[in-house]
Amino acid sequence: MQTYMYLSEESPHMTAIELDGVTKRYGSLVAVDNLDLQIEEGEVFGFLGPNGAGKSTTINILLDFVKPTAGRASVFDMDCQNQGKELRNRIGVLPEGYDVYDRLTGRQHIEFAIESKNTTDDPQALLERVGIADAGDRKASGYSKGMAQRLILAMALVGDPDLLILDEPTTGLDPNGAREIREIIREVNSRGTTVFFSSHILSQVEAVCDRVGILRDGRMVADDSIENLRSNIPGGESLVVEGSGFSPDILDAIRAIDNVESVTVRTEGEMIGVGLAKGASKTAVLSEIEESGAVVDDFSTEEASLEDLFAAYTTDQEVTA
Amino acid sequence: MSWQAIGKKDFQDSVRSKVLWGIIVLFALLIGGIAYLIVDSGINEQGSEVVEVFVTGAFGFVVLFFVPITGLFISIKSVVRERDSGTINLLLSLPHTRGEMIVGKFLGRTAVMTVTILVGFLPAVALLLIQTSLSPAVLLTFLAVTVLFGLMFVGIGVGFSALFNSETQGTVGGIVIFFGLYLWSPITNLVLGLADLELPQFANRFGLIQMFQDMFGSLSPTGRGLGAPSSTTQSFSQSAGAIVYPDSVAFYMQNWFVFIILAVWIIVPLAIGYARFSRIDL
Repeated sequence: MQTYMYLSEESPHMTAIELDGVTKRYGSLVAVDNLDLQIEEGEVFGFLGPNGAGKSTTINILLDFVKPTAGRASVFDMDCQNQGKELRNRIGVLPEGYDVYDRLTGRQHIEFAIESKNTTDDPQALLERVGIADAGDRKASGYSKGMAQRLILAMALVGDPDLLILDEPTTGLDPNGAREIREIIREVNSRGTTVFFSSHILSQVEAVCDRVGILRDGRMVADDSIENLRSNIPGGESLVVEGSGFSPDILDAIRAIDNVESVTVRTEGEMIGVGLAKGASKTAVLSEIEESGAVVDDFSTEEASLEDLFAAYTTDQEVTA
Repeated sequence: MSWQAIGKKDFQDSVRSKVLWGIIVLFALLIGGIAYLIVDSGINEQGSEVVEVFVTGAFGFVVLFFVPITGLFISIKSVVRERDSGTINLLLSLPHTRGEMIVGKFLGRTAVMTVTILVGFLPAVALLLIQTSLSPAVLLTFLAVTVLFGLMFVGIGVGFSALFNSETQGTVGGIVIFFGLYLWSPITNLVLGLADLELPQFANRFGLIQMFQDMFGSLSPTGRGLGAPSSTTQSFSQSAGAIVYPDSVAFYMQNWFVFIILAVWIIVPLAIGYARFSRIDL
């Protein structure tokens, strides 16, 4: 283990995960569409997208649960389809849609991972690390969803893997549990482990990820650092106008106003959100609306957040940059 | 070793099944009950040979029915249940290939089958060894052949389990396979009989009853099959269908060839199951 870390420090640009034109079709449905992705060793990568965007399919291709229709996936330069066993010896996984073995105890689960990876980990230490030491000798069928998540995370940590793949690891956890998972992610990452972390909730990955990729309908619609994504937020402020008679012509007229970055229909004809860049005039927007014959009943301003950006990327709200 | 870790996990998991222990108790009562009746009937006074005829004949009858059902019950959902529930995502996230998973399942469930047979036989064996003059070697051979016979159904069950897509398919498939294994030979013979044809002798060697008979016949120290020929039990032995293959016939008609047939029954279903299982999306 130690030697490996030295090696990785000497070659800091080794690739942990590489997807090259990966496509998965189910009949006419395209779950993953020509996806390219490169994750460097040592990174914490947040893989974001709404449910059904193709995140789990992508991860399942990495694990060889699913065979890609086209393209190539590799982990540490090992082909996911042909070198799966070798590759999985170096990674820890918290997969989606798993179930625990009902009749085995938590400890037996961890012992199974230890025997499978042929390591010398101490099951008790791992149980303690994920906070379920007291439940180790209970049958896993009695575990809550949160405890099961912790147990599988402990299995994933067996053998001190070079890459952790976590598919929605905070599902079923209370905010405290989610924070503990993030702490474990930071801790293993500080010792050199690359982390690939999927979620449909931005705030879960925001706090720990160096880089975020946003997947929508099987395509990567954004791939950048949190800072850069932040700086892309239009002006940091949006004007929400409620009233009536907001026709498409009016929306176009608003878009034409200087420094208006986006116009989003929130309720058809009755409520719109106007993304404002710095220097935009709210008065200009409001008077434009009233001059075109629509009625303004109320308006307010909103601080734009990463969540808005995420929503903009992953929903059908109209966004014009 | 992957298959060891999987086999051990699988054994630990399935040996805790309450239904399995119900089956073991039922089996022990049935076999033990027969042993008790044999002891109680005073047959022992007629000599160990007569005891052997009755014990192997009666036990054989129970085993020929019980072992296929239990073997299939133990194995028919072994792979498909992991797929249905999602535990397979844990197993195959670890460094195991799908082939190692099948081998590990086969070995783990074989261990469960062996425990089931040995524990189930325990009361009967104890009773017979204490109360009768039956040769321990004959009893041990019978147990060993029963275990070998069990392997066949575990192999068939695990192999088919890898082909199924849902637990329901597993249940239905298990029942169809059970009856299919018994009925393919008489039904084929019946249909062929209408056309005045019959299955070649070799094909009949794949039949369940014949296989058990041949395995026991070739391993038993007394060289007799189930309910073997004896002046006192002539009719019984004939109904049990003991066939002694003469040394002069072709090698595939020799008694020992039954073990090749056993291997075919185990390996072919596993190979077919693996061929599909290794290609599918989970």
